[in-house]
Amino acid sequence: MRLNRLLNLILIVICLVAAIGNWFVGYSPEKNTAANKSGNTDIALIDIYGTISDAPAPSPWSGASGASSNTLIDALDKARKDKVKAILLRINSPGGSAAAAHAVYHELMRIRKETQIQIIASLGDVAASGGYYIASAAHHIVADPSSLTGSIGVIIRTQNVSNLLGKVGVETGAIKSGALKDLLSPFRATTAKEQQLLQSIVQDSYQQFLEAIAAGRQLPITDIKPLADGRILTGAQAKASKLVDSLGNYRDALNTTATLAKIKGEPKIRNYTRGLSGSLLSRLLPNTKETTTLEDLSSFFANAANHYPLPLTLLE
Amino acid sequence: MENHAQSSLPSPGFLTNGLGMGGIVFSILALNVSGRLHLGVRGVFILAILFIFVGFTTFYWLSTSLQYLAGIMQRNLATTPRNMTIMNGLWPLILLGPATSLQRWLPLPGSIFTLLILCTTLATVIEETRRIYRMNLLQTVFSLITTVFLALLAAIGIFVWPLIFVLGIGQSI
Repeated sequence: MRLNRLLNLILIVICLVAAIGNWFVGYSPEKNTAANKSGNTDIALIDIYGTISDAPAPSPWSGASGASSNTLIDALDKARKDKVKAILLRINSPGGSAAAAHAVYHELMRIRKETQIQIIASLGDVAASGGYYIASAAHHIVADPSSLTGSIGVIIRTQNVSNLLGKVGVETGAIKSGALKDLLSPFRATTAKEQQLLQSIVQDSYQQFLEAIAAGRQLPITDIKPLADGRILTGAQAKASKLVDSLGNYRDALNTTATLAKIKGEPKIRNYTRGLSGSLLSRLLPNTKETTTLEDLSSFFANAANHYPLPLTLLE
Repeated sequence: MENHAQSSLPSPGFLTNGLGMGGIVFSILALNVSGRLHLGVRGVFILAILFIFVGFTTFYWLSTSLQYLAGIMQRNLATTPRNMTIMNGLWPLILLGPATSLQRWLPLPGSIFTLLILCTTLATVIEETRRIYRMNLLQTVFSLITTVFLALLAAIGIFVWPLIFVLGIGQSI
């Protein structure tokens, strides 16, 4: 009887170990297409999908649904430490906060300046505003002819709901330490002084944006400025305007990356951002939305106030 | 796995064994699925909890239905809850761990092994049910098929019933 129990126990342990092994083998996400050993990777794939923000690192129960600059910078740092030959940015983003986009851009430019790593950007459905800001740090940008890009500009949205509140008899007030402390308050009209201040902030951020693109694309600002009025362009139009280097899909971008990084044979690719966005539940569920459409771009700006409830956020 | 005697009612130990076996089976299945879906540690954790919760709930529901049917067939409605002890019959499923590993290296023998496990599980569940409710083979198979059929009908009913209700109300609201 005791021997019987012991045998049962051994069988259960063997089966559990085998199941753990099954999970562990499958756990390596780039089993078929990528290098399993980090030091063996040729191309670091970085996915920049959704709204770019300065969101915290994801936890089991929550996480930024879009692209977190912190996560992206960590991924870039890891790729750099792994001594990859190239970084392929796969961008499908309508933009995001200026600070977050600039942070990622700055990190890419640092890698570009300090290492020999080739940086290539592959634009998906949309790579507008902050999405293009990041792409401009690449040595080479590949866009699909129908990709939507551009939207170079900065915006601060204002709202004034005082008339509406007045109709329902709600009065609001503010006790403030300084004249500009309730800047962008939705409960009153923006004053001329505030308008002037906000305009100067937008202009300064816009200038940074222009300079960043000029530095990344190695183009004079005078060439970029006519296109930097907030307009969106198709990939083909962007190619004609020198905002992108070549036209093609992800496979073409991969080939370009291999050529520029002088990789012989089949490149070993590793996705450094896989499973690093969204809550655990959203990461568990397959086919969660990872694409951006033109409707998303317009709704992104329309809903900016809900996305960024902070008193002041620059959107790019 | 246990060499059960043809006793009357299963002892509390059998119930514990049944629950333990269910836990192990669902954990092994969760690990297998996690590997297939390339999930991380947290994924395994969530999936195991989900499988155990849903697995036990569904099994309890089905086996309760089976117990009721068995009672009707024996003209003696069972009052002692012994439905969860049927879980002991699921023991071959723990072999799906090694079977999945085998499929990775030797696909054909792995698939045959998996098929054998599934057939054996069906046989052990039938045997466990037959032993617990002291029915003959025909009664057991009939009870199991009827239980599954009724469960499917109930599942359809969950979707259809609100429709009937809403349409039945007509335009009075």
